[in-house]
Amino acid sequence: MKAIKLVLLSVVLAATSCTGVIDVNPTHILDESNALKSIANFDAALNGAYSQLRGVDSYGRNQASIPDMMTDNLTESGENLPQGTRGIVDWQQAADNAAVEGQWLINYRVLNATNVVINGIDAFASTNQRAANRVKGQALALRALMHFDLLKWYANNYDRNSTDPAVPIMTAPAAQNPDLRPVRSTVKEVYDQIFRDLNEAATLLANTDRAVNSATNRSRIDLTVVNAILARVSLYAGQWADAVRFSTEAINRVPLATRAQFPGIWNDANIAEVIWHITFNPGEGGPAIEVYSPAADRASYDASPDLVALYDQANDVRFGAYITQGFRIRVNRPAARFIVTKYLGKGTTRDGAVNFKAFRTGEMLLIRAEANARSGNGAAALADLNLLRVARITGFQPGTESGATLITAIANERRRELFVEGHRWFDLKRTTRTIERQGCRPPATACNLAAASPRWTWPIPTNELIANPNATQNTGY
Amino acid sequence: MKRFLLLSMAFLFCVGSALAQDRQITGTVIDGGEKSPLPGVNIVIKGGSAGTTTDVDGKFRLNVSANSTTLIFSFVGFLTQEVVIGNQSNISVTLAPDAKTLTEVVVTGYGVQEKKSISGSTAVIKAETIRSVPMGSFDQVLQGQAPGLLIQANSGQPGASASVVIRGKGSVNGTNDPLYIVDGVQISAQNFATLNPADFESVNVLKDASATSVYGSRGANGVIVIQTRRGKAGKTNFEYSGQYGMSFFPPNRLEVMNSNEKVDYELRRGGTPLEDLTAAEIATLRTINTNWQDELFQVGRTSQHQLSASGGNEKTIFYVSGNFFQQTGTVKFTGLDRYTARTNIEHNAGNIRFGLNGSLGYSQSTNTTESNAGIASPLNAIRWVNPYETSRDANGNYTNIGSGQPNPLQEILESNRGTNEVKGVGNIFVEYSVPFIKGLTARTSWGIDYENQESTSYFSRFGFIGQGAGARRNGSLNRNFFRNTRWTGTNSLNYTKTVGDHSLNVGLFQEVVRNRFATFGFTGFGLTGNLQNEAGITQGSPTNNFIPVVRGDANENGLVSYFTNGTYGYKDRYFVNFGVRRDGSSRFGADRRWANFWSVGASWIMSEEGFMSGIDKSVLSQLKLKASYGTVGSQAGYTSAFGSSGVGDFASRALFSTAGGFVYDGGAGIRVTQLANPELSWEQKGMFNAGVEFNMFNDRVTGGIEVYNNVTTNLFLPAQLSRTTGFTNQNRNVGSLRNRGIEVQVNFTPVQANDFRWTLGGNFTYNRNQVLDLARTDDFITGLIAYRVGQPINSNFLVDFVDADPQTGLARYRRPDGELTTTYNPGDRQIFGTGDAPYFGGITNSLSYKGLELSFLLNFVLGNRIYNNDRTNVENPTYYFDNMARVLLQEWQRPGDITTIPNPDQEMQTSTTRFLEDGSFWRLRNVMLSYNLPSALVSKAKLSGVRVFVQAQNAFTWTKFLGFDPELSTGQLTGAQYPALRTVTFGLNLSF
Repeated sequence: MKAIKLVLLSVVLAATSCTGVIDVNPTHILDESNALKSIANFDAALNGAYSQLRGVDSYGRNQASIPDMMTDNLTESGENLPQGTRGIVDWQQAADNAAVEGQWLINYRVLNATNVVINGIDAFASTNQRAANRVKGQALALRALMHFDLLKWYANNYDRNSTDPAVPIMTAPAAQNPDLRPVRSTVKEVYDQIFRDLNEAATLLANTDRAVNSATNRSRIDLTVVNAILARVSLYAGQWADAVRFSTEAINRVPLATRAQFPGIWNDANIAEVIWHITFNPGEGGPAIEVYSPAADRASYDASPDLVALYDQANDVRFGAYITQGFRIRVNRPAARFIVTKYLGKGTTRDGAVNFKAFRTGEMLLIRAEANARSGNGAAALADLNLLRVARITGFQPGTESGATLITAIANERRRELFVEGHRWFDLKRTTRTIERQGCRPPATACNLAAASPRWTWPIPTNELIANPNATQNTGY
Repeated sequence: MKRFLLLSMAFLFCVGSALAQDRQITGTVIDGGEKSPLPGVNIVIKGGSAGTTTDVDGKFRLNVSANSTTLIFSFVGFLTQEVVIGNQSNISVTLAPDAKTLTEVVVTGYGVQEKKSISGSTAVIKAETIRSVPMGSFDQVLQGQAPGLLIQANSGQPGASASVVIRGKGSVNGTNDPLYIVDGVQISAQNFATLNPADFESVNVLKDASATSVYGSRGANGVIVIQTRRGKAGKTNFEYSGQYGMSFFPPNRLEVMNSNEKVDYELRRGGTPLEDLTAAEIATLRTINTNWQDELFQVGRTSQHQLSASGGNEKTIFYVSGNFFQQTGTVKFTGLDRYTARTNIEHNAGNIRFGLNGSLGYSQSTNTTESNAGIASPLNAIRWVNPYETSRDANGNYTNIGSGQPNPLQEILESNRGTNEVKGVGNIFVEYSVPFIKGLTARTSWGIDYENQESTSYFSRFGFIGQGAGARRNGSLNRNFFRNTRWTGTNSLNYTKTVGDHSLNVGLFQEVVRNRFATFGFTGFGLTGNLQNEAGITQGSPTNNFIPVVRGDANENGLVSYFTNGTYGYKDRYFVNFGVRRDGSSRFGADRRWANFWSVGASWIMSEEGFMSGIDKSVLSQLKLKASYGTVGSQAGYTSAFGSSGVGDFASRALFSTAGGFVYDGGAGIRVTQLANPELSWEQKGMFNAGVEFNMFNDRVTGGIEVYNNVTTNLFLPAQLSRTTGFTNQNRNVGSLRNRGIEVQVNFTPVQANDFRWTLGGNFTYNRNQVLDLARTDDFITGLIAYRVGQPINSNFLVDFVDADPQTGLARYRRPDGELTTTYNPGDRQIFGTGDAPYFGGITNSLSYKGLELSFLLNFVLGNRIYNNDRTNVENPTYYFDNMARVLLQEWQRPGDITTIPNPDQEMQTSTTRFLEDGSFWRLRNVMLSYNLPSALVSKAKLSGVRVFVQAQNAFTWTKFLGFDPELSTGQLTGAQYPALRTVTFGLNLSF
């Protein structure tokens, strides 16, 4: 019996010593116990948020290229291998379209990332208030921008006080309530939140421990960027005075590039007039690879004939920087095509990995011009328009447009200036609401989009509607 | 861990310190029919209660008191024999078979159990059927061999592993892989290219809760227990086996256009570069007709050589083997070379028995990308490149394909993908028969499954990927290393006692399994010289953009189990099996780690009853009824070299990743990649099984029927979250699903004349999978798949495509209410069948005359529907710069055309039934003709056996599926399919 007791004892001892086998902690990934323990960790969390802007559903395609693909700026070619973009460029986007679903998801991913930072950083304010300001200010501005980008796609109008449904507002980390099923806030409510966040961001970023950006790198959101965002949002909201005020702030801090500097902006040789760029390094994709991929030498979209016709090809520095006729690396394509060579790569590399210029002074001048023109200040508007045209076009003789002609001239200048920078679709949506593609031919199948079409608004993704019964679909889907 | 080892040793020494008292008798029992050791034989002392059973090798040890005179040896299916002890200390007995019954044993990994006493559901696959099949991965060989076992190859790439599912998929987001045990050691599923099936003795499939109860949570999806060959005492036996053969690509059922058709098609549609060509140039194009398949395919070669020796004496037995297997695939530059060696040794030192089973393998494989829809995959390019293009120009240089599609020949020649693997599987065990408590043995067994893999992708600067964005400039070299180490340690006490009509076998176990998986890899650039390895990489600088990418990861998990199981038998005709266990897993929330499971089963050998004695034994010799019920848990996600899915090692925690892709502007980034779920716990399965087994007409007909009902609750499901959280879903224990089915197996010997024997066998399984509950929602949808209450998992969820509207050519869809519409609306999606086959089975047939035998295996999979994504590319009218499916010649062109191919000017919707196909197939899996040379002839050559054979693998397939191969476990053909090899080999076996 003694032996049996010994056996039993051994078994019990062996048994109790084994529970340690299931105490396993991760070694190559962080969890709540060690993820966000210092301001430096929050800086890394901000990087995690910024890095998502490179995604194809963010500024790695949807926000940079699709607004041009969907309009009269680009013409689809037979080389295209559409991965979700085909339905969109023909305005046949369905609620299960990959880009429609991806855009929604990635913006809310970034919103969660910013909310994690905003929610957690206050605990470190007592350690270093001004460092905490620097982190929180960027997160708030990014949160505002993400809400604004969602509003642009999924709301049917941009009126400041519209009660039409826009998108759900997210201001808390998802971990607090993963089962949240929010309703869509109104356009007005989303604007309110955007302005609230941007104003707070401006206050915080005015008082930081160190500069957010440097003279050679403007990859993060500083006070100037906040002003630029405010200028753009104010223009969409029709708040002309604010648009003038904030764009002026940005223009005063970052002057317009010279003609000599201009081509170097696009291969990252310089950052003249860049207010904020989203950094793409080699291997990190690029903003317009689905327009023209230098690595694959695949020109899925060409510059449209009517866009090409808008430029003074010989004298406009932008034409040479953006478009090359008959460009090819190895594929035998017809020499007549106009290839978008704006985003070939850094320096002389040809991989499409080049920074996306999300905000720059050219746009700010055009915002100020438009806001002035629309608020009855035609002279100031014309001055800005001429300033830009003289800067871009060799030998340009200042124009004398006024009234409706001036508005059209500004719109055309936006088209020349901001080609494949993610503006055309939204500019049309907030102004004329019509698209007429010139020289439309296969594989494009839709050539005209009327103002009354529900296709100006993207559908709420099917998978959101399934998971969230409180979300409602846009009309026409 | 160290402390644990020490304690385990203490545990053994404590037991060992007691003193032996009785006289000990050892011996071996031989099967008089097969002339081989006979395990499981009952040995009792006449007039007493003490007894034992023989082990796997037919050996036994028994302590007898001085006044014992006679031992009784009994075993089902054999005539009982009494032996007088006298003063012998070693007794060897040969039991004569009782011609009336057949006995089978099942290896459970913790021991051998007589099949008769098992109330669970098991199947044994004899290794002879496996050893000679020329496959790089043994799992594929089990196809059609046992009911309830659905094996689908998915790939014919040499060495690729198959999908193995036992009795239906019981988990959605957890693993459905069975547990694989080799000589008591858990080995990784899905990576068998470095294991040598020629060393296998038997493959045992354990299917229900009663049979798998000793494996607990690991056995939730069934267990495949492999026992490798052991030595036999006596003369050393040498064996050589070798074979050589060829493999061929199957016929193509998805036809693409020829040059003439494609040129006409493009000219009709307009807009392609052909418009700019002269009539003469176009006429030239029409004559080119490159067969892109021929550019890439070859006749594969297979050769295999194995030499083994086995033997030993009554104390020590051994088996040693070495094997070389070489196979080239049917796609150029794919193949597998494998070298394996095995040593199995066992020694019996009185009360202590110990042994070592070890195998070490090394394999080298080269492969091509498959199962994707990427343009850089040569297996896609063979369909996509226009037939009027050529791979090389007149000067022998690669041509640029006009559409921007990479040149497939260039891709396969200018890249090199391969994997080298070292795999060691081994265990050591020590077993101690406690002398002062008869029937009590203590055992400790420690095993390791070690895998070390190095996979390489080299892309030269002259290929598409080498130049491309993904791999960056001037060529790239990508090397990835991974190491997986899994320890399994088991300590057990086992007690066996037979008193009169009562027999009892009880085991007490304690087990730990710990797995660590670590990877490391890098990608270097700038391979501008002649070296294709690390030395050829140009080091990165801020300006040359050759900065290499470095990555690494590691995962770890642990499992602890305490359990008991046993069998009680009465009068050798009533048996009860039971098991109780407690398992703890590192994967779950701190309060949810532990769970208890149990199982119980009973079997009744009805034919032994008195009331059955009226039935002639030549009509019905054995009839057995059995039933079992039990619970098992699953904690496994799926983590391997190929990625992880479902429940990961840290699935219950909030995770913040610092992966390389999260870097922004050169600064390290952190992203929230998982929300915490502290409530995550075990997925549980309740398994019911009932069956009948019978032997009739002098065993000319044997077989069994089983029914099962397995309900998984607390399913690991990706509960859908509002995307406004930034997440699509979270793994939770919600919902339940059921697999219920019936399995039938019958073996029939219609003719058994003197020298002629004809046997037929068949197995059939019907499995019905049904989602019972999805908690918050009625269904959720991922991609083309829906999970809906009342329907099977992996149900195809698509819009019903009808045809092209005759007037407009627009695609017409049928809405759920039956109305025809030309508007595509994802809201109109409905369920159309499932990708998981409900019916499957196999038929074997064998004719033998003297030494000549002709056999075949036919297997079938019926009733599943496969989504053919390959067709969405070659039938998409947008992609007409590349080659298209021939069926597009029937495209709608003008009002009045009646066709199912819509107007090409319309956006083609892919999520429709247009691309859904019947996945059913019948396949002649194996045909073999073999001849055993007459022994008179053989012995003259001083040999003990010579066998020659010729066999064909996958010779014919009957299917309607439009692809190379319908054998797909996922229900979808993504693209770039590498079909199962069709192989013919000639072989020779010698023993001497």
